[in-house]
Amino acid sequence: MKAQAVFPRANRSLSNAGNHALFLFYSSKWGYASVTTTANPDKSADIIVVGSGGAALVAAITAAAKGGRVLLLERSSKFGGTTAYSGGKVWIPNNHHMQSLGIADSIEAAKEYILRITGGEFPHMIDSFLKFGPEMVDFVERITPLRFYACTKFPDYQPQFPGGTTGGRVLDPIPYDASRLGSTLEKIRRSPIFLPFIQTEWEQWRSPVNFDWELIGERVRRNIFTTGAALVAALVQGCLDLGVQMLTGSRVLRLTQEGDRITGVEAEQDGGTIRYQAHRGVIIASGGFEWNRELTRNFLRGPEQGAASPPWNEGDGLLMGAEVGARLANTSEAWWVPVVQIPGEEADGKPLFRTLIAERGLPGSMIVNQRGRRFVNESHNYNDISKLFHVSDPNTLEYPNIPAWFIFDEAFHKKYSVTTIMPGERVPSWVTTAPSPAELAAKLGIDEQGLTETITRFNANAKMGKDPEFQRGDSVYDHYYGDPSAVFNPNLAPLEEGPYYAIPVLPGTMGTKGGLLTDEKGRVLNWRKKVIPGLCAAGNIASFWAGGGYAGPGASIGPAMTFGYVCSLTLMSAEGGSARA
Amino acid sequence: MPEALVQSVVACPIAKVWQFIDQFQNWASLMPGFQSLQQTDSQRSIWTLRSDAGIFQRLVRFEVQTTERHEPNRIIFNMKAMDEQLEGGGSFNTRALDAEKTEITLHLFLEMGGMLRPVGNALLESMLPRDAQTLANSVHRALEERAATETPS
Repeated sequence: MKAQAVFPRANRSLSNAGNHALFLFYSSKWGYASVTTTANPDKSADIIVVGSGGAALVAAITAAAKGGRVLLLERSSKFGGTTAYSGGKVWIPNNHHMQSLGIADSIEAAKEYILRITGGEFPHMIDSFLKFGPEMVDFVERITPLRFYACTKFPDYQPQFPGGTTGGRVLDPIPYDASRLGSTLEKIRRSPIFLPFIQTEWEQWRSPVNFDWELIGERVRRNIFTTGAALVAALVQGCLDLGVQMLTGSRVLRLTQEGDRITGVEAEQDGGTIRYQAHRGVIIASGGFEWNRELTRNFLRGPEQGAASPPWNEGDGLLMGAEVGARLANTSEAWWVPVVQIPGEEADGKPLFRTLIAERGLPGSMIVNQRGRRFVNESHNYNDISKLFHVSDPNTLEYPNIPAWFIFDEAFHKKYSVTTIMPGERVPSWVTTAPSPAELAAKLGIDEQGLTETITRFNANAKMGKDPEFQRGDSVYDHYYGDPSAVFNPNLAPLEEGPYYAIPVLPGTMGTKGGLLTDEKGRVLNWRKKVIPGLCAAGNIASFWAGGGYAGPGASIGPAMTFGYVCSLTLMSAEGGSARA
Repeated sequence: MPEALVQSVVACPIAKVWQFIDQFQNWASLMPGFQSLQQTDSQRSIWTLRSDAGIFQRLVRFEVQTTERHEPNRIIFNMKAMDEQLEGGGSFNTRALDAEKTEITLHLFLEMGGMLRPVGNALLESMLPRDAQTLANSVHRALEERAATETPS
């Protein structure tokens, strides 16, 4: 893949000669010398950022805003990383948007909630996140075109825990006109899953039957982005405005050192290897390792059979960090989510795995295992229910919940969508269909009696608006993705209208969240828990102090962006990255 | 409805152009995203194409049927997706400019139905002109290569 440079905004209006002159200027600014010092680097910068998702982009913007010369290196042909594939929500307790709306929150309440969710192993990291998160939001909204609004009705994932809230902490990007990026637009990775509407629009429309399809089509036509793509596009614009040099097709594989200090990187680029020197430090924000089968088999707590992320997340950052002695932590965990694979669907050249999020809470559906039994409250948050896929049967040493099956009836199909199957429209042949539950079970090869009994029992309880087995439909979070107009309960309805449908559901991730252990300043620590000078990490490659927990929508991107900000504050400070912990 | 029109001139007699475009097997594989073709009968075939448009990045099977043939000037075909609400077609129109040069006009149109229509059509509006140009260029190249290999030494 040929490396391509995206030059800062100032270049765009110049002639070729002018651009060449500016290239020479920037070349000298960034030290594109052919021979320097004993390391003999080809190029240099104050800060090198590896990756281009939310953490990386905020890190680059922060460092540039503090006066640093910043070089951002992206392995693939497009910017955006996992953030671009995502719903783009950013979870920041006590943010100024919720404050201006009068929604109560506090650092103390948020800390109490996070400690409960995460198990509290890294309280200093939680303190840093809660302190710098709101500051980061203020900063990016001041410095870049990115703007948020607070989702006032989107609850935390366990809102019933002390300190949990039922809305306000989740920030959603306002639609962004990405055509402003000009030729750089083609370098922005877009989600293969999300359509361009925002959360409050979905809250109003609910079913695709009510979507404003003309508005959505117009946004597609005019390159008006929402969700993760909007976040990325606006932050990339911010990078360009601040003079960050950004390269695609540059895969960083190694860190360079002098003594114990990180001095730069080596990147695979244009068929060769190029060394870049970092005068202040390197920030690794290159994403997780969910597409590296060897690493996922070795590290994760259970099977992971599909990743809803770009296939470039193969743990480059993990390997290069480990090579210089970085301590690893939390590597057994991931941002778990049930996924569905539509046969033949691909994104970026690899199978596409779609997340099963909104469908699971809708009435008239359930998820069953090979025995035809439900095993969880399907409406609960995707991270915590996915852990049930990893239950192993000690009698058979197998995982009885893999694969699972998302079952729904014709009444459900007429009203709601499932992945790309629109309400009432033709159900494609990859969905298993049968006139009765018993015949459906026979086609699926699962226990017929089990499924029939499960549906019979579920239906009887659903008509009373209850799920005594798993308490589906009892919580605020469950109701958020339910149907407020449903007769018995927003999340419960009997499955009694044939035909019946089934789609296989797999244990998936939106990314791993274990990796290089950092301190509250984003500095990577070695196995003795001493700072490795000149090295910081943020995002999924940094060991997430969240443990196995997921605090709320955007509780991956929110901390990722926050620690991208913190890393650059650290490296651009007078102390820089040289101090030991 | 999303559509594209591409006109080009190829250094090839009209009879040779007709021979080429009259048989799906000659140019179906030049369609962007082409995966396979299964001939059903002389007028019908099933094409599998890989769609690479935004949120629709998957294999799509089309039933393709010739609906009109007017040798040597026009061939019209329709395309209907077998598992999606996607329907359209196209045509090749040819005009002899002289004994050795032919003007080819390729017309492609495709429309998405159902609820996703506004989104699908917005994507097709940008995709079809690009794909039609690619197909036209490939047909042009194939015809000229054929003409070059058939030229007596």
